[in-house]
Amino acid sequence: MKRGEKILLIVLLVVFASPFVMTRLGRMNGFVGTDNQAQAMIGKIRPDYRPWFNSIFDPGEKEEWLFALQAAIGVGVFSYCLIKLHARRKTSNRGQKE
Amino acid sequence: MHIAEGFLPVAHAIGWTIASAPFVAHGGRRLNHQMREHPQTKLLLGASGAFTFILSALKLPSVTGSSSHPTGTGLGAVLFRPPVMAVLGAIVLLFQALLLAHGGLTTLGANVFSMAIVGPWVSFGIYQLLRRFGASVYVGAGVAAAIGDLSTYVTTAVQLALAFPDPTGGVLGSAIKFMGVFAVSQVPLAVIEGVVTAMVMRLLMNYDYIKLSESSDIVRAD
Repeated sequence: MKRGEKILLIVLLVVFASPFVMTRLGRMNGFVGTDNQAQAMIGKIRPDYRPWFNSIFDPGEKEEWLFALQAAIGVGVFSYCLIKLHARRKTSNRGQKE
Repeated sequence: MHIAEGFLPVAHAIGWTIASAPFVAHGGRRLNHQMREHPQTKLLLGASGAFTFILSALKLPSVTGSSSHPTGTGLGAVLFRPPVMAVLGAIVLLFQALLLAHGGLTTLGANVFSMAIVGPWVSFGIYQLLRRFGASVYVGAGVAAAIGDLSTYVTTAVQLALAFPDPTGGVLGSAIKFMGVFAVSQVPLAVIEGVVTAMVMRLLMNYDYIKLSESSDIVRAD
């Protein structure tokens, strides 16, 4: 693997990992999600509006972990696909040379 | 861009579901076709889907004390055209609605419309346009992903404005208010999404996972 590619991979990993590291460090506790802000805005424009359907499953406090799980599944599948692609590339290159 | 469960009036929830359904159905046919005719692209399809899965799970801190998340639909839209992303994006949103209580089943249609339909089509259009003007694949894909990300949030703001017009300013006044919620926070994140997309594109091209066809469209390699 070339040096530039290694740097690329490391930067990607840092970006993917950053929200969870920051949440752990407590730095993100003060940040409010824009989705929640939009919800609050609805309350301001239409104070009488009540949601007519609730989530079937509410993870509550565990939500943050489920987001981490989603990202982890994504990173897993993403890496698996790239590794398989890489392996296939190698075999087909070898086939061409011989 | 996730409109929370139950936060769209019934008529709007149904309307957006009806609007999104044909795109997802057509996307399903395109996805099937892609896997049948080009089975060697399954891994790249998997990677594109996983990319959206990762990026839409990232709640990144942004300016002014708010956090938001990228969408990750630009990459797949450029590689496989937008209809395929309608399906992959809908799967991600369904997962988040059911397991993360983020978004919702009643608002799934509206959220699919903004993230899995408008975003990918805008990304695809911008990419084609930039390529015509001689931009490189990386610049094209990066800018396309960033603008696609923003277009998704603009769509959400418009959807909310249509459902909740401002008592004095009407739909337009309300749209400006909702855009105010998203715009400032989203711009830096859209830039990050663009840079990451360009980097992934570079990774894929460096390894010849993807190649350019004569029409300078991106096609899959072996």
